Order: sequence, then C-alpha cells, then structure tokens
Amino acid sequence: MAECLTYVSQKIHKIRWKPTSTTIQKSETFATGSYEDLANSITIWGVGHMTGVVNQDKFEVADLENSQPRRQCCCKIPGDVNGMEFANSEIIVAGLSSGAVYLVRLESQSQELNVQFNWENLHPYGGSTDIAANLPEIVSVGEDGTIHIMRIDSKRPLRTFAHSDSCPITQVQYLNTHELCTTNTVGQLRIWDVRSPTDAPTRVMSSSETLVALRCVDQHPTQSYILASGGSDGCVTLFDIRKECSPLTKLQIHDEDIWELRFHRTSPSYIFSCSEDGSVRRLNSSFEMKALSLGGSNIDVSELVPKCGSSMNSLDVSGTRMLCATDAESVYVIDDVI
Amino acid sequence: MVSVINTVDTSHEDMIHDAQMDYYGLQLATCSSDRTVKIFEVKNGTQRLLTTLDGHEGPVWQVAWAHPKYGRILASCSYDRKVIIWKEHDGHWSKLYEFNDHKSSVNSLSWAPHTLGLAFACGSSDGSISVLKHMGDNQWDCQKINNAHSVGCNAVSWAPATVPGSLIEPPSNSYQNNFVRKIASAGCDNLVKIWCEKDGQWIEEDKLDGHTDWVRDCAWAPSVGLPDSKIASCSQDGRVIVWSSSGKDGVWTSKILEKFEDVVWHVSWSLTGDILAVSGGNNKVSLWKEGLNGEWTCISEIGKGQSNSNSVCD
Amino acid sequence: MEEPDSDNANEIVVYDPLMEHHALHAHWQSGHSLMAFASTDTLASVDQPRDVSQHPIYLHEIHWNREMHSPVARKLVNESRLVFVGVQQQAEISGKPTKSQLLKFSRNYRSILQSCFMELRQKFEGSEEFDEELEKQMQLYSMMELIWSLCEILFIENSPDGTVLIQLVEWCKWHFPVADDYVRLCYNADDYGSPAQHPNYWPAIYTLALQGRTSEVREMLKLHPAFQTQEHDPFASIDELLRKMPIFSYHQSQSTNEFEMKWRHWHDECVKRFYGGDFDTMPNLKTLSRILCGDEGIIQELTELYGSWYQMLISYLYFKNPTISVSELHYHTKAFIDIFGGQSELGPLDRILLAAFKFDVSQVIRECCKHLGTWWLPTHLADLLHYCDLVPLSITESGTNVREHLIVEYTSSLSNFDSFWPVVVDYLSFCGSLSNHYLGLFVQRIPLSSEKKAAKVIRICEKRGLLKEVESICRQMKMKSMQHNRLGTALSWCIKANDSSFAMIIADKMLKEYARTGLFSNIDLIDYLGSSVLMSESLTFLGKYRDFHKLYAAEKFKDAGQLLLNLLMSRKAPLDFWPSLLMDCLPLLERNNLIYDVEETTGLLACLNVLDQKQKIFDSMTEIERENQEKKMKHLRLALTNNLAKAIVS
Repeated sequence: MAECLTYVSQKIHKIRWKPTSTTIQKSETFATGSYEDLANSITIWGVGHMTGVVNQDKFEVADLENSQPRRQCCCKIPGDVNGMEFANSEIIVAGLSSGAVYLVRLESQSQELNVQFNWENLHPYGGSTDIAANLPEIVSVGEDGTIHIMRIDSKRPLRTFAHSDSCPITQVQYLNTHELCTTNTVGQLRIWDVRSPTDAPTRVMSSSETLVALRCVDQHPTQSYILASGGSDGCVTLFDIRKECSPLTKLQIHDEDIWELRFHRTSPSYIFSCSEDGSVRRLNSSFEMKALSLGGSNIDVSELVPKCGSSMNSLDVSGTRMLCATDAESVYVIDDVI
Repeated sequence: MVSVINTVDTSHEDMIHDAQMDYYGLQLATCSSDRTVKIFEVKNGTQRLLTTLDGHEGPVWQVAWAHPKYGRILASCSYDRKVIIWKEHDGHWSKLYEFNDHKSSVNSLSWAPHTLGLAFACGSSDGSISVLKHMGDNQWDCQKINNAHSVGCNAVSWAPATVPGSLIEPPSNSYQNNFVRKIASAGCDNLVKIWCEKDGQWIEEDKLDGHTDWVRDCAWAPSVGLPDSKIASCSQDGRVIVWSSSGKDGVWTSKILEKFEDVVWHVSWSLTGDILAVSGGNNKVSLWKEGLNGEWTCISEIGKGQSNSNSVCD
Repeated sequence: MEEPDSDNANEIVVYDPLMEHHALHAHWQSGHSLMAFASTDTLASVDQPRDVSQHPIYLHEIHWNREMHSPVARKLVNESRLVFVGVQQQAEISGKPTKSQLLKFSRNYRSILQSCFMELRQKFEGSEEFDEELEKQMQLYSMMELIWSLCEILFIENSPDGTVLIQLVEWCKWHFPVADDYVRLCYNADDYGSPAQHPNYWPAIYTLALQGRTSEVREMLKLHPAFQTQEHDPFASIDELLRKMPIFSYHQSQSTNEFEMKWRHWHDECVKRFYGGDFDTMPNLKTLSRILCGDEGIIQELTELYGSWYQMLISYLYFKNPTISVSELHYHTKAFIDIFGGQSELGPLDRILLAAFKFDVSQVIRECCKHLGTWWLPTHLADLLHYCDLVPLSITESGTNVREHLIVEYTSSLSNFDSFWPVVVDYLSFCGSLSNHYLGLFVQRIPLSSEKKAAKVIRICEKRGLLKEVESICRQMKMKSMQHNRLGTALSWCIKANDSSFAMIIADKMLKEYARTGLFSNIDLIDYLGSSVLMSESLTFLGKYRDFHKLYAAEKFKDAGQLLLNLLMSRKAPLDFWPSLLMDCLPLLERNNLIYDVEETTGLLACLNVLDQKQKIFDSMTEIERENQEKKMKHLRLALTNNLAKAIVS
C-alpha cells in the first residue's frame, strides 16, 4: 500500500475523486471542500509523482514536492462546504452551511474553477448538510429536515419536501432516478419517491431503539436493495429495503461516529468507512443476504489508516486508490487499497 | 505580535462605555452615552449592525451577556437608574425585564456564573447593591444590600463558581449545593468589599482596605480550579492592587501591581485569568502577567495616537 | 543571526481622533484579543455637553499571536499536535517515555520545523517580489530549529558519559554552512584558474578545519600546487596530522580513557611539530596547525571568518578538550563571549543558547518565551524536557506548573482562530489536574454552528466527564430548535440530555397542536421513539396515543377502543386533550359491531360529564369554536347513549 500524507492548511470536510471516463483509468485529480475556516474554498488537486517535471536544480525540494498532491486551482465558497459531489467530470455541486447550493464548473482547458450557478437560502435554518447529484437533477438536504430537488438549469427548486423530517437530515443519496434515501439524527433511514404526491417518505427504517444518529449511507452497486449506513455509535448497519424495517445486521466497526462509508464500485464486497475516531477501515464481506441475516457471513475488517488523532471526515475510493481527509488539515492518498 | 485587526465604526452618536463580545465571539454589544445599546455581528474582521436597543433614558454604562444556555440574553445598566434585560427571539431583540429599584445611576452589573442559575448583581451610586435571581416565568427575586458603600458603588464582580477543594476531591452529586456565592464590589469609600450569601442573606465577609481614593473597578479572576482566589482593583489614587486569598484561612493579601500617575479606570482579566488588562493610569492600556516568580510584569502596552500614519511605533 | 523582532513587538498604538481628549479603555474578549475605545469617566457629570459629534465613535479590535494563522503555521500546529498527543499517550501507557522514545519525538518535532522552513523557502524563492514577512518567518523557523537541535543534543540525547562535542560539531556544520560556502566559491570561480588560487581558498580550509572536517581539509590541501607527499614537507606533515586525528565516538566501543590517551598523544605531536618549525615556511599551514593545537589565540584571529562565540567555543573545545561533558561546558562560555564583546553584546538568540550551554533549562524556556514571539517552541520543548525530568514541577507562589502554564498560553494563542478548536481541546486535555477546568471554560466558547459540531463537542465532553457542559450544549441546541419551531429536533435533544421536564413541555405542545389541527407534525419521530417515551409521562401518553392511531389504521378496532378507554380512564391524558380523545371514540361507537360494553360506556359518559363541568378549558376558544365543540359533544353524548342501549340489549 503506497501512502502519501499532505498537510493542506485547510480543514477539509469533503474529498472526492474526479470521475474518470473508464474504470481502468487511474484517478489523478480530486477535489476538496473546506469548512470552519476564515475563507472556505473548493480546491482541485492533482495526485503527485506522475505529473510534473523534475527540476534539476532543486532536486531535493522538487522530489518532495512531486510525491505530494499539487494544488491546481481553487474557488472561494461563502460557507462551510458540508456536502460536495462531482455531478460529472466538469461539474461540482456543493451544499453549504449558509443554506445555499453552489454549482462550480471545472474548466479542464484553462484549469480554472468558476461558480456557475447558485441557489441561495434553500435551508435558511441550519444550512445544507449534504448534497447528491443525478444530472440534470441535484438534491440538497438540511438540518431543517427539508429536501430540495433542483434542475441545474432552473433557479426554482423542482420539488420540495418541506420540513418532512422532524430532525436534521445527515446525508442523502440517489437510489435510482426517482428514489432517494436519507439518514437523520434519530437513527432513521428513509426512502423518498420524488414522484409521490405527498411529502411523506415511502419507507422509514430505524437502526436502533435508542435513537442513535445515522451519519451516512451508501447503496450496494450491484445488489441495489442493500443499503449500508454508518451511525454515531461507530456501527455499520445493513438494510435490505425489500424487507422489514429493521436492519439486517449491525457491525461495530469504529469507536465513534462514522462520517462516511462507501461500497467499492467494482468490488462491492468491500466497504470503506472513516470515523471521528480518526481511522479508516475496510470491511470485506460477501453480503450474502442469508448469511448476513443469520449473523454469520465472514466479515473481516482491516485498518487502512490507524487512528490518526483527529476526526477522519471524508473518504472516496476510485479503482485501487483511496482519498481521505482529516480535521488536522491533512489529506491522505493511498494506493492499492484492494 | 500585537496588531489592530479591525476598527469598527459603531455609529453611536456619543462616547461608548463598554463593549462586550458574547461567549462565542460572534456578536458584540456596545453601549454609549447616546442612551442606546447596539449589537453587531462580527465575522472575519467585518462587522454588521444587527440592532439598536432603545429603552434607556440616560447614558448606558455597561452591558453583559448571560450564558448562552439561557438563550441570547443581554443586560444593560444606565445613569437612568435602570437595569434592562434584553432577550432575542427569532432575530428580534426585545425588553424582557426592567429593574428600577435604585435611587441613582446603576454603574455596574455582573452575571453570576451559569452554574448558579440565571442571576445578576448590580451596583449603584445610591450605595446599594442588588442581586436578582430569575425564578422562572420572568419573575425576578431581588435581594438588596443597602449601604454597601457609602457615597456609591462603582463596580461589582461575581466570584467564579468553584467548589472549595474541588481539586482534591472529585465533584460529588450534591456539589451544586456546595457552590459559594460571592460578590466583590468597589466603592467611593475607597474600599473593596466581599459579600457572601449565607442562608439566603448577603453578608459582608471582608473589607479590603488598600486604596486611598475612590475604587473605580474590581474584577474577580476566572477560576481554573485552584482553591485560591484573586481580585484585581484599581483606583483614582493610581494604584492597581491584586488581592489574593489561599482560600483556606480566608485571609486576603494585597500586592500593588503598579502605582500610576493618573486615575486607573478599569481592570479586566483574560479568560484563563493569567493576564490582566489595565486601562488608564498613564493614558495607555497595559497588559500585566504574573511571572513564575510571582512578580507582575507589563508584557504589552497599547498607546494612543491621533494621526493615522503607521500602526506600529518604536 | 538577527534578533527575532527588531521593533518592539509588544507595543502598539491605536489611532483614533477621539482619543486626543479622552482616555483609552480596553476590555478583554475571548482568547488573545481586546476591544479598545476612547471613553470618559463614567461618573463625571453626564449633563456636560460633549464635542464628540463630529467624530465617529470607533471600537478597535486588538489581537496578538495571529501569526499562528498563516498556512505554514497551521501545518506546524496540526502536525506537531499529533506528536504532542503521541508523547502524552506514551506517558500514559508507560508512566514515562524512554529516552530513545523521547529522542524520536524530539526528532519528529524537528522534522516538522524543517519541513515548514522548506515550504517557506520554496515560497520565498518562488515569489516574484521580495517578501519581508516570509523572510522573517524563515528566520524564525530556522532559529527555532537551531535552538531545538541544540537542546536535543544537550538535554535529551546526551550520552551516558556526558560527552557531546561530536554532536555539537555536527550541529555547527548543519546550521552554519560557512565552510561549504567558501568551498563552493573556490570551485565555482573560473577567473582564478584553480581553486587554490582563489582568495577564499585558505578561508575555506580554516573553516573546514574549525568544523572538524579533516578529510575535506585534506582534499582541499591536495589542490595546492605546492602539495607534496615527501617527508619533511610541511604539506605532508599537516596531512599526516589531519589523517591521524583520533575521533571520539561513544558508539565505537572505545573507552574514554583509551581515547584520551590516543588523543593526548596526537595533540602532543601537533604541538611538537608546530614548535619544531615544520610549518614555518608556510604561514597558512602554520595557522592551520594552530587550529589543530587548539590555540586560543588563533580562534580570536579567525573570528572574522567564522561567526559567533558558540561556534568558536565548540571548535576550540573540539581541539582542546574533546571529551568534555555537558556539565563542564559552561566553564568555557565566558571567555568566548568576552571575545565577542561580553555579556552586554548578547542578542536574544545568544542568551537562549547560552542558557542551554549552561544547562539551565528553566532559563532556556524563559528566554524563549520572552524572545521568540511564539509559544510553540517553549511549550513543546518544556513538555519533552518535563518527561526527561529536567523541568522542575516548580509549583511557584502562583501555584502554576511550568509545563501546564505554557500549554495554556499556547492554546490561548490558538483559540482566536475557530478552526483550531480541536487542537486546543487536545492540548487542554493533557494539562494535568486542571485539564477539566480549562476544558470546561473552553468548550463553552466553541460556537455550536451546526448539529454535527455540537455532536463533536458533546462527544469530547462525554469522554472527559464534563457532564455539566453536555447538559448545557443539549439545552442550547434544544432552545435553538424550539426557536425555529423544530419541535421534533428539540425533543431529540431532550432525550439525549434526559431532560424529562422539558420533554413534557414539548409533548404537551405537540398534543395541543394536534388538538387544534388534527395533525401531528412530528409523527415521524414520535412513532420511532421506542423506549425513550418512558422518560416522561406526557411522552408515554403521546406514544400510546399514536399506537391507538396505528391500531385504528390497521382496522384493529377492538384493540384501538380498549387503548383509548385506558388512556381516558387512567387519567394520563391532560385535561384539555380529553375532547380530542373522546371525539376519537365517535367512529368506534358508530361501527356496527359493539366495541364498548355497558361498564365501559358508562365510564366514557362519566368522562364526558367531567368535561362538561370543567368549562374552563374552552375559555380560550372563540365563539364559533365553542359552539362547534358543544355540537360535537352533543353528538357524542347521543352516540354514547345509543351504544349503552345497544350494549344492554346484547
């Protein structure tokens, strides 16, 4: 496992790979979104040691520099970047603490990052907490329990589920073109149908009796009825949305809040998770429904980043490469994670 | 390196007398001779006026924020003999309570430590001190210390909520009841006095005699858990005195930090109680720190200038 | 090296036209900041007219230690935090880190300083214009590295027998590349034909020798056209001396006595050859041989070439007394300081290094605090040295412990900057017995800007047992939610804080809302409260009432009816909710199959009668509402009577 640790002098809340055109291609560009800073920004980085020219005069410095990600361009954002996704390889959408949603375009020619569109005041109280994109649609969720669905070319939200959740929504994901799933601070996983005439969720699933917050969710890439969510108790909870509302299984993976988790897109037996406890771990399981519900199924957990001493806020995996970012203003690029 | 990072035009029409940042450093309250209190939002070196509170009929001397666990509450005291408690709801500020039981200017007010509930003390030129405690439902219970300082009380300051011996023994369940309620006050009788609540009554516990002229201000140092207490006082006589008590025998010893040539108006402690800011005396603001040898030294000075050329002097 | 700050950094002037006639006042804000303004005597006659109207009234926000916000400093802060926590954790595990562990930690700190310096240099070299601020920063970082590495050698690394010179010579070589500069000049200048012709040829050789780099000296000498290897040649003679110079190293399983004997022999040989006139024909070689002899006079002569008293001190001792121990160093400092003008000429850096040479740890820390303008170095150094048992606990009169005192200073210098809050928390957590008091003070001032941040702060408080603060945070979050009419969120905070009395208030509010609108806005939460409903009676009632709705929706009318009856009879429902509950019976009564028997129906009628007597609850209603209500009640009474009849018949 090759690992590169960089201090970026910015507290990073979200980190995402720029999508590549093919799955074989190695990702070389990623974006970070900062928070709790005097001036927040979205920054585009190039992964080190493949690009760049070695400068003969300053070999020592240049070498050091080359192994590190390099800042390519940057764009100021008025608020904490709470949610950030690449909608495609050129468009980044971000949900902010100010309650606004920003659409930022990465000009691959000029290597510039420009704000192209913004929706202000979508979540006036508490701000936006996460965002998901399924072009041409974008969805933003907030602490106010509201879900807004926008089209990238229209100033007005397409559909709004106003205060449909009594509690703050923590994350959102598209399950398919018309269904969304969200998690909230009282341990619920909810499924919403965009086409539904009412503002109620189509399903509510509860992860625990004790109202432990769910922090994140991801959908199995091939068995689309399996959802994995991470809780503030450090547990990964698996749900089968075809079945009853209670979880399939619950695994204690971390000691504290799991902020993000990801199924590997092409090897979905792996789940990657990062946590407030400062670690990044990888679960390996066949996710065989039968075995899981019996509590069996061999699950092995490996540590990709041991507890680093500060919250691991965000992670992303593309092919064999993983990115993660911490509250200690550091970014890890790790190769050969599977 | 010391630097002025921001200069705020307060838009007050007359002199300001106090400026207090809230607990989180997000909002700033100011008060002025123009009879108003203003609240600003302070962010990244910029400020925005949120509101102007009218209600006083004389110069407003002091403002103080209550602990945020009670909501956004601000208290102000004025020459008009009134104390007004303001409360924010949904971004709007309104008068929550008005206290006008003093016969003369209310010069100073101080909130009690939040662990003691929502309560404050105020001192007036009529010589008395009032202690008000919120009993719920906007009912305030008032206890008065009459004739606390003859000629007038200039300043009041609550003692931090420490439990005696908290370092030695871990706090027990009943420790709420062990909190000592104490107030220091400064007056025109050249004295600093310590008041203590015993069985629901405020009694004079100690009298600190060290100044030879009006004591303008006194400030109880924040506690970091040590059993000893510290109070700073400053006076018209130019002296700044730091009083300390080991807490065991209850005896206060004084140390004259400096004898200035002019009146010292104001003393205030840093959050951790390790630096004392002294206003006045030599027309400057000076910062004092107790060295490891127990001696106080001036570590920084802030002077004033009229021109607007260079920001650092030699 | 220059002084850290040439201008007086501790004095500042605030410019404000109003201050011409009025006193300057200042009040503390949080962290290292003050608010200053012009003001008058509050007790002066208030009616006196003032001439302030033509001037705007200004407030001046004054901060210090802002240099910790620069990108490079942020790197330093965040990276060193991990090392600091590592040290503390090691100490917690094993009581005290071992010497080799401490050395490793010390090197970690130093490598962070170095990488920060590198980054600054890169920036400095990359910027188009001369950047004074960057240059100052570079100076500061290189100075910190210099101080730190000396302290590491003297205080942490020192070998069991106390010898340090080899490391000190290395320290000079690393930090003061004077010799390398001369050598480079010699090689690069083509004008002079060969390096040996260069005017810096001999300075290069002398400085290399002073840094104990004998083999490099020999290489240089070989370039000289007169260099010969024949016997009795001055070059051959000096070459032999240089070649044979014994080097002491603790690691080479060589006893000090053994080495001293060898070295003495070599030294005597140097002196013999010098006085024997071996080098009389070559004055430059004579100078070189005087260096080898450890001749104090030559050191003085070469001060022009070679820097400062401490470098000279080290060179001198290297050739005079190579096995000197740390504790003896200070006997020699005065002589060299005198050469450089005596005590009065010492700059801040000199004073820091002198204290180190004198092995006075407290003085080193004091001087660093005074002159560096950053708390970073004294704090981290004192912490490491504390574990070397070198920093006395020094509980002073003021009751402060040096290490803890510095940690508090360092965190104060960080606390003006919001982003650093987790760093501050980490440091305050390792502040001895006062940790929780400091943490308690600090966490109250972390703005709870989001639910996520509140959750993070709560977790920290829970870990440290700061339960009062947890309660206070939950309370604030609850109030904020209430203010924005987010009852569900507020309730979830109550549950987290186990605040049953407030949960009751919210539950009542929800019931009232239902009674008024017939809709529950927070069903999504109430239905999933689980065992949490047990914390308050109202909440339990609310949960049960929702169960009734669910049973009804599932068409389990019999069960639904029983549950409703229980709720009414047990008197658990608040009185003003009774009308709603009773009205809920209506559809049950109107069903074909009988749900309530005689006794039950009588009970319900009794409830209705109670309600009739307590008209008070309808007081708040409007005329139309009351009429409506009465109509409904009438309808209900009729239905109940019918039901009673039905029940008796069956």
